[in-house]
Amino acid sequence: MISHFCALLGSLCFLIAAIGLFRMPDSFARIHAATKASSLGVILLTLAAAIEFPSPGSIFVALMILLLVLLTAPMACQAIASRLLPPSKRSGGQADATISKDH
Amino acid sequence: MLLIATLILGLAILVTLATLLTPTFAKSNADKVIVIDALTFQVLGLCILLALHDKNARPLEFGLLVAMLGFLSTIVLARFISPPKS
Repeated sequence: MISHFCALLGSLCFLIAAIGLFRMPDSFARIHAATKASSLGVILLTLAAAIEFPSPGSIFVALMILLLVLLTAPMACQAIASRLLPPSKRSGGQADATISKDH
Repeated sequence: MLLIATLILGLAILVTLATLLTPTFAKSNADKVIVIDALTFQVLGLCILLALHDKNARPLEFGLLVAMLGFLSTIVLARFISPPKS
């Protein structure tokens, strides 16, 4: 019961992310809406899975999903956002600037 | 309650796909990459809901694979966004 309630809350977070993606005016704001709210939804859904399946293997897989999403979502967000700026305005990322000269 | 959660997540996927139809999205490639990134998270959510519905922990591993592939596809697709010049 508690796990199903967590799943419902996580789905609502995904819906909020989708509505934010639909309504935000700017690409940076869209990245913000899509990444943060989706991360919260994944946290709640993996919590639901960990409550529903209390065996150690399932809790390990749920923790791995959570760790992977929390580690990679900001990196993917940053990879998109760094391409939205011109190369002269980026901080760091020398290799990235040399790649973008080819375009 | 699980059925309502699945319906809400399906509605979220539909709203995310409907974003591609709005006119501001047709101009930039970055927004399409953001939509693909959000869609992989939602498919991961559907995998976990499938595991909860079947009372079977196997689809959680599909979710792990979807999370990895979503990250890799977002990183690769972000390479194709052409940055502004000036």
